[in-house]
Amino acid sequence: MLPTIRGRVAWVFQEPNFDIDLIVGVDHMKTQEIDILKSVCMTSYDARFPDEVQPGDVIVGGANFGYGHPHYPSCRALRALGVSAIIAESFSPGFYRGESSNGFPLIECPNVSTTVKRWQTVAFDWDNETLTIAETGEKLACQKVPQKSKDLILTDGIIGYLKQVRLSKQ
Amino acid sequence: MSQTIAEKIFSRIAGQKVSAGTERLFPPDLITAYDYPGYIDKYETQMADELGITKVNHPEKFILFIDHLYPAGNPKAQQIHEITRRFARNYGFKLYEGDGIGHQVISEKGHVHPGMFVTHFDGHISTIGALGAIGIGIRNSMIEAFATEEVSLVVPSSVRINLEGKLQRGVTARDVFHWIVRKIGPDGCRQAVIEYGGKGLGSLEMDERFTLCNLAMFLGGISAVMETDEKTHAYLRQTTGQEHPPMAPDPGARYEKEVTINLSEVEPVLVAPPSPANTIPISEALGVRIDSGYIGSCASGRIKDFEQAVEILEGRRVAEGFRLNAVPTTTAIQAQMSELGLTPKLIRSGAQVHVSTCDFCIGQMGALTEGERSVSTGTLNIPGRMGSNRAEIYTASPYTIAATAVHGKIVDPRTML
Repeated sequence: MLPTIRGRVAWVFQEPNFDIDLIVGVDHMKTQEIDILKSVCMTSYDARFPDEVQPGDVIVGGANFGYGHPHYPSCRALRALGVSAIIAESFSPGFYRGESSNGFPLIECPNVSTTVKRWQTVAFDWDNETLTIAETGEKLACQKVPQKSKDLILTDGIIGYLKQVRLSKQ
Repeated sequence: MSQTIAEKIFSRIAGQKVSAGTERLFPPDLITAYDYPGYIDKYETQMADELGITKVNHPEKFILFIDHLYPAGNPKAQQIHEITRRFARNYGFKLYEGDGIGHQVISEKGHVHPGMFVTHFDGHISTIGALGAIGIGIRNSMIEAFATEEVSLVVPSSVRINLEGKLQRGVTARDVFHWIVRKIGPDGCRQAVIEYGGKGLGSLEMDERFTLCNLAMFLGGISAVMETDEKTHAYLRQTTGQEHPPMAPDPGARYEKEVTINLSEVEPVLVAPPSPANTIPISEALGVRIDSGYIGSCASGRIKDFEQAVEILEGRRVAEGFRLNAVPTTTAIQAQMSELGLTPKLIRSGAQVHVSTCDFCIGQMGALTEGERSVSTGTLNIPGRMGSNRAEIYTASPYTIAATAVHGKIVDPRTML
């Protein structure tokens, strides 16, 4: 079953073309140690972020989120802190391909970055592909999630996907 | 139904007509990769240990390149290359080592034909679009291609860019690309294949076309492809020894949007730190002090690029203390530079001409230290890309870099031509 995405909005990036490496900072875009990545995650936006974020929280992004030359440590850090999804206006294709292969739920939702506020609670409905803001009841229509992306989430990333979905059929 | 070039290519591979938006498995014509820590060494472990695959059905589809960390500067880099050699040997894959940057070597060696679909980890494989083929960087789903020889894709929509007119003197393909970014935004072609065509395309040489296609990702493009013409087919005759039918979209093909760029209106631009989205007119950066310059990479570093640099540098000297690195994209280009007399002219002007490698683009060689600034034809200007996180990179055309090298500060090259 696809994971429940229901959580607080831990941060809203409204800027377009957001460079994902800034989540851990360029000094750490190649850092591997997960404890270091967790400790610096988002701290240039909110110094208390690693303490305030809770499992299930989501990040909201603007248009073309992940533009540039994305590295993997930023999303490793977000996942390690419990962030369950990124919901953005749209994603840069290289970032989308890379992080969906890691089994990370990425949802494209037009108008999300200008509609939701930090710390509101949102819930994503996989069947109807809508995002509901708990506090206001407002529903936002999201883009169709490709089947491959769903499979990658269900199988926890590309190796699980290959084993369970693709190679098992051969 | 009328089709874009991308729809034609994916329809051929699918064996049936497919349109933008269709999600299915596609077997790439070529599956290519380069080594770097965490790439081929990881694929080898994933294939053999995690998936138990010791043999592939079509080894002739696979091409590996040793172009990063080359020549190896330490035993660890050599060990990475040795894993790649072993991986190629064990699975029967073609390996190119020391021939230059794979995104160009693949075309030079005649592997790319119009209509092909090629995958790589790295999105700069879009370079091959100049030959009417589509290269897509699939990042860490490369293992999907290695393990199954198919990749799951949603057929991309296309953005049509019609080129008109001719470039003015002192203006290059680099300026054209970043001019387009400035005009339609860094997400102007998001998730789409950029389809270049129009009469203006005919005025661009193959070297310039490779540059335009190489940078597709910075318009948000999933790839880029060009209509073929006599210049393309002359190139293909040399590399493949074959004739090919022309590659063009059907009249009435549907595009997400169509953009017209008049080449004669394009002026020199720079991409200022810290993001490839940050294009500025050269007038906004004139006089900025610069410490080093780099002409090379998979984006630029071809004969045309060095001809442009030499136009400025011949009879002049690189400024005292300025480091100018000229790095041919491939060894074939390096040989041609010597034959054309470009290499001695660059050296006599004070430039250093190096062996073909990716390493200057990623700060493995010619690295920048804290507080330095560089002008570069590398692909990217993010902090840390060419050394220190506290160095700044402006990407620019070979003309602008050569002009800047002479003065040690950013200069409009048109004033020196």
